[in-house]
Amino acid sequence: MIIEFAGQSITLLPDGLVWIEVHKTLIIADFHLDKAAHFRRNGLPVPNLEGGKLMEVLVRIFQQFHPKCLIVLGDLVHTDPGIEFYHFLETTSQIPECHLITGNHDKKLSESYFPPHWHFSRFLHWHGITLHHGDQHLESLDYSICGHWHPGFALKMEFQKQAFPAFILKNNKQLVLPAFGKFTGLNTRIAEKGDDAFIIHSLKVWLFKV
Amino acid sequence: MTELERRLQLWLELRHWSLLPFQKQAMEPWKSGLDGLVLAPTGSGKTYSLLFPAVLYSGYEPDELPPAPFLIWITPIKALAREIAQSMRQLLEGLNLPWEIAIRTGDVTQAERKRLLTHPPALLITTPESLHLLFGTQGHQKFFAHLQAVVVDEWHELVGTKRGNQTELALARLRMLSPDFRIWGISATLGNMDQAAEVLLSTTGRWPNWVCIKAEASKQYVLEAVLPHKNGQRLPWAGHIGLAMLDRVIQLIQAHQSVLIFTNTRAQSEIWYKAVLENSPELAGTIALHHGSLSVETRQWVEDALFEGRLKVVVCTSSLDLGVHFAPVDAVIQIGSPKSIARCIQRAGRSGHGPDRSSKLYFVPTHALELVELGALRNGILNQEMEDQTPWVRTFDVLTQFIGTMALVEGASQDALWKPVTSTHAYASINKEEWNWLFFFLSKGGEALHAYEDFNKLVLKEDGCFYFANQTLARRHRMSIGTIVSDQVLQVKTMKGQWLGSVEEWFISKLKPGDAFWFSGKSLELVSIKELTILTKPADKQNAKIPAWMGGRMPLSARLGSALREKLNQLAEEEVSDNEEGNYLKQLVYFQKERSVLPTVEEFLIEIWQSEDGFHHLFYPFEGRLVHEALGGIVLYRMSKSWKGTALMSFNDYGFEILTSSKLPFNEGDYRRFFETESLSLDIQSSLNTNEMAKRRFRDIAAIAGLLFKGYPGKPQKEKNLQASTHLFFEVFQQYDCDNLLLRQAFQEALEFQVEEVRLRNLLSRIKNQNMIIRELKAPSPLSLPLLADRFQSMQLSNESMEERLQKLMDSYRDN
Repeated sequence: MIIEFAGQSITLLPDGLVWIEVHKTLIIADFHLDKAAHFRRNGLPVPNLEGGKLMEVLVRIFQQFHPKCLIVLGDLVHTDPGIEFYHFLETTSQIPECHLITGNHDKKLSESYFPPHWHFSRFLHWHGITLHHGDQHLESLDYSICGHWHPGFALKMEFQKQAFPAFILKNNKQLVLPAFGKFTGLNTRIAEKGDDAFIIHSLKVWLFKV
Repeated sequence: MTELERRLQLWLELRHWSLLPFQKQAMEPWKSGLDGLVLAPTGSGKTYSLLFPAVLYSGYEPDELPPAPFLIWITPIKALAREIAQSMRQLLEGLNLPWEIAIRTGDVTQAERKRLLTHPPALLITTPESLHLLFGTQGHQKFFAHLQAVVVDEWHELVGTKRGNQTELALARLRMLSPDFRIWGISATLGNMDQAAEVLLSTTGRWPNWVCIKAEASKQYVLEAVLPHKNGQRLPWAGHIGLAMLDRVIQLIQAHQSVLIFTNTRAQSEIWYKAVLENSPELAGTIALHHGSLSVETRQWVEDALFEGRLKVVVCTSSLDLGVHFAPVDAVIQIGSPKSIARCIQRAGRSGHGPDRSSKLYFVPTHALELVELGALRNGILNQEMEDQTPWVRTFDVLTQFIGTMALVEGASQDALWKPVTSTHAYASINKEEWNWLFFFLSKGGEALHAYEDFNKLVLKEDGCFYFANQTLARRHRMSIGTIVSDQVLQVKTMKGQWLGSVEEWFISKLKPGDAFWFSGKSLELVSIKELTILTKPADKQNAKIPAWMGGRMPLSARLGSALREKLNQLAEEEVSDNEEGNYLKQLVYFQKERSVLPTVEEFLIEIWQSEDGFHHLFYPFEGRLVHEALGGIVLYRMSKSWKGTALMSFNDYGFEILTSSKLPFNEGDYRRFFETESLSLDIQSSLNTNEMAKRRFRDIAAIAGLLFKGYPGKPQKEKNLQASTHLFFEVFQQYDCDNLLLRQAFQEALEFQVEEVRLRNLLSRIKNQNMIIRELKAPSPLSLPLLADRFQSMQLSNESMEERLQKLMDSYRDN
């Protein structure tokens, strides 16, 4: 689904990513790579499944869009970088320019783990949009895109309430991305009255006004 | 007469006892080395019936010390172990025998456990779990080498559970160490007595040679309904707590010396305890609460106090169904239907101990329809229609655990274990391929998990036996031996650190610090939650919440279901007795007939009623909650071929309801098709919920088979995490290892125990021969009210895809 944002057309993809055609740029938030491994280290034997699938999705999207620039809005890893993290570096090695805006989970990541086409920052002012992780309160934000909250939106369906992952757009200015990692929860308290919720389900994006 | 026989006679004479006929009967077969089963109710002298011959005919001289146990007494409940030990001790002292008795249960201290192997007793009392733990201890082979007999007490409690399988495996293992010992069981009467005996005795090699000894039980059971005082006052049409009858219950308490109040759930027991105490504060100090979530100390204290006659009232759940008999108890009050004839007898039997006294049970109906259940219970008891306890077979989770246990000490040998394992009833039908798979799974993690070290648990050593790959894995295995899987619980403690009991994680997640809740009969304020401990202090707030525990609600048994349909038939034909209880039943019949129809055994009733929630379609098979849950899913699946939509389904023991936003467009012919027996198995498979049911079953299976580790003491895992990982395992196996025996077991269990396929099939063939009556109601009928009022369990079912539903929502959204 294409929406107008900060004077440009941006595409919300049903996999929970943002694609900006004019800049050939892909924006993704909250991978939480190696989360299963973190559980295993702590004595909970969780088999590893999702990591591999995520990379499959990523490869499919790269093949479809041929991005020139990839921006990760933080929480790339859950705790320690592990095998999933290295697969991720491999998968993204062909992208000419990559940015990591560090999130609260990225404390154990060091720049030295990354190849030279990676850039690091806490914020990025980029074509009139502030890109940040979302864990810190920022004054007087104009247009911004962030992750961090793992937003979801609960719909009242016949006889039941169901929560779906969603992009949340506030005041037409702040866009919160759903988590790309699958082994994460949903926070349904992000959407407030007046916001737009773009639910992602069955390979489609559905707009609901909150 | 031998020396010991003479001493026994003297001991009996001193006590003015004489051997009861069934106790005499057991002597001879035991002496000649036969196996058997004693059928006797609690408190009838059943313990001595086997203890006498075991002690008299052990072959040891009175002054001789046996080198190791010659008798093992297996009991399903720890509390019972103490009582049995007491009986043994009295007898040994009376006969002047210097033999030692030891208890080995989960409650025994580390030091006592160590002592057990270095100083073997002559008689050992234990539980199935503790026995398996002993198999994991160095030196147990010598310890068990001198067995003469194993007695399995309360076999009716074990035979229909996975603990039964565990017992079978234990007996098979013992026979490897002591090739020639007798097996005897003690059991209450079951519907399938011969099968229960077969399960117990398969491993002897002597089956079907066995002896059945029946205590003459001509006990009278009187069930009396507790009704409102004032004539004309109505019984509630729906509800499940029963507090409307509080005044009458208080009167009963005052009229008796010591009263047991049975409730069906732990939450209900907390509610009743609070209500009784608020109504009669003078009972404080002589009223107590007893349920499975309270600490062992609390429960033991209550049991002791009850035994000694220091308590006037105990509010309890099935936690007191079994075990020690409490002589001072002179009245038993049952709140709500006990849902099974056998359970009703067991509870009634808690009062009026003694050969000639009748047992009386006061039945407090929580709603009017339960009076019909009471009538059905009476008929069931009169006709001795005891329920079956269906033994479990092919439980690969228990077997996986057993193989692990065998690997702890001498190594698990694939060849040496094959014969003992297949000599049991449970595993008689497994084939070599399945057997090999188990070892493959334990050593390599199966198709799906081979890449993970934690699942390559066993390694094959040069001697051809499997051993644990490392000490950590062995320790984890030792800590998780057992088959009772409970939800992850949080420990409730006072600020001073006194342990009060446990509640399930999901209840406490709804509370904030400062909130009050009722627990162990006290109003507690939540101070803080640290790790998995809840610190509390006494609260002064009035509106405290009551914790609810998962599970525990028993479904209507098949026998009682059929008795219930008979009873309704009597009512439909106006066979009502002319007493107070009968008057209430007449009221019920009158309203049901005025608003709808009261179905006879030849009729199947469907009611349709419109409320502001939508259209309620109500179906009444009277077959128990679980069957209704499954049937509802199948009916909805069959409807989906000609109807698309989303429905809410609720069910109780009488029937099920399908709630939709528009009336279902079906006539009698359509409904007949939905209840057909044809293609049932296929439709069960395809109706959405088998997967969900199997997933629920898989949780326990994964825990028993050792896939999940619940954490070390003091550092347990959170339920949330455990649940997440069981679901992951389930999905991984489905995707990568669909022939996994544990996965297949989950589906099998779902079919047998969740769907109760056999019962379902019988039900559908019954409906085939019934007249179908479809009634549209102007007002809800008495039959429908419990279903409409209490939505304990409801599930939403849909045959539309989420995409279609989103589109529908989107469209209605645009229209507004």
